Amino acid sequence: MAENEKQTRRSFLSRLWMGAGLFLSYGTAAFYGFSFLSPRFRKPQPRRILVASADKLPPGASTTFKDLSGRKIVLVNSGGGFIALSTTCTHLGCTTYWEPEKSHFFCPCHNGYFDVNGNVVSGPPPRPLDKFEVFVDENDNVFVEVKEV
Amino acid sequence: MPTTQAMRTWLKESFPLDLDVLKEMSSEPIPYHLKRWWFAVGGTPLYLFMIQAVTGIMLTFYYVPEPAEAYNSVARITNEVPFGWYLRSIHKWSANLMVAAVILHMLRVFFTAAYRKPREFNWMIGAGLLLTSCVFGFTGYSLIYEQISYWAAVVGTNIAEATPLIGGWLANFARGGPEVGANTLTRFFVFHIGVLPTVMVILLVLHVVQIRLHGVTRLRFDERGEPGVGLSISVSAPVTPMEFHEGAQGVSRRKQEEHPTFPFYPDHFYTELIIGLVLTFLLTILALVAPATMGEPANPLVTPEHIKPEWYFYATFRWLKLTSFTIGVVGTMIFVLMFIFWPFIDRWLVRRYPTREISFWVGVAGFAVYMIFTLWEAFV
Ligand code: FES
Repeated sequence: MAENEKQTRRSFLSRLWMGAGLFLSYGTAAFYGFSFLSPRFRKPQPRRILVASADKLPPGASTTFKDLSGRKIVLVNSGGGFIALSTTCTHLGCTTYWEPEKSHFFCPCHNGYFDVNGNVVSGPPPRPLDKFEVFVDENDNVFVEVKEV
Repeated sequence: MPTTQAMRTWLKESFPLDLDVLKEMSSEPIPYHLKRWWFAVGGTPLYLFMIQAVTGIMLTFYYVPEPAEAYNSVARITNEVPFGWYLRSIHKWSANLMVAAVILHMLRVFFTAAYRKPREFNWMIGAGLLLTSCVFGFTGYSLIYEQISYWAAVVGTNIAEATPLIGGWLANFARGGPEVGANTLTRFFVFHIGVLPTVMVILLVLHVVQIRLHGVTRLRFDERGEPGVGLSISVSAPVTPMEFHEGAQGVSRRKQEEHPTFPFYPDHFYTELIIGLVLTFLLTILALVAPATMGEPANPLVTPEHIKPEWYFYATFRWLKLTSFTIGVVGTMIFVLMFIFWPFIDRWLVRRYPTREISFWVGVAGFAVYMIFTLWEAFV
């Protein structure tokens, strides 16, 4: 009886060790594999870039430039100040077009419309177009704060 | 001759296969309804998959998975490599036919309720095969790196991003970073030629093993003996086909007599062979009449004004246009989950309303909506 109990205990312990060993070794390997495949990137830092000189952009005029990851940004002088809007649709990431004759941004992917301030007019986009902060320095240079890549 | 004898002995020793077992394995009794083409569609995707594997491996000899070169390498395959246009067109068309064949096969399985106990798991594997085929198509046309490739990748990975909890990780994992770019192309390439084929083969083997274990579903109209050619009206009558009998394994002798069968080899094998020939013919015609062409190269700055995914995503695409962001994405996910777990939903429905074939009408409604959305997107 006692002999038997010893046997069971021993086989239980050996199974436990075996199980723990397998779990730890394969677990470590899985963790390494997982980290290997998950891309790592730094939190992008903000950076100001010079876009235009204010006198080149009278009220109503606009200009387009690329941010550091190559996405288009539109800078508009609305009369009341400068607005910098991302052209990336907030729905699923397509690029919107500014249609001057209709004064709206149009996204061809799922027919999203945004007004001149980037607010959603119609279609599936869940929120307004992303805005970037605009700074004008003492020499009338217009800077926009974008993210580094 | 002694050498032949020696060869034979050597072969037998190297492969100690019991020929009788092999015969037994390959001569599964097939119910009579499989003489109708509608019921023999299941083998078609397998055949097309083999064509894809062969043509795919050949295309890989010339394809370069790198943004600056991807488009050019596909253009070279299409315009310069001898018969490159043909291989590429066959690859593309067999992909399209494969998705169509899987959909047809699943419709047949659905409307004959062949997914019911004990075949629930095999339905789920089948759903997995359809999803794998779609992801195959998606990663495949992303590799060309034309406009539709790029923007499909952007939209697709952003949909993945909306998955609750793991969305962010999933999208970054698929893209290989926060934006669609060089890493994305490499990853899609690895999925397309390595991961997905492996998944597909595993699922296919499981699918066929399950069919072999359960036997082909027996339908009630098997009792009527040899059916005519073509789609019989009894297939579309809602009540009869939803009833089916146990698989081959559990059939008693009396039932065997009620359900005449024919052997897999050679009868059904020849049917498959003929389907294979017709497909090869059809693929060549399609490749000649509508060869794969090149669109505009990918431009990450401009989404083209008219953009559409491949036809099998039309319904989803239309749905995304019609609904808000959350309903669009979450609705799609719920639909996919319901589709995968349908046998269990059906079981609940049957238990709740035993006399009504609600599943049949859900199927009709679901397919009608799918077709309407698809046609709507195609023609508007
Ligand atoms: S991505 Fe712009 S509307 Fe869908």
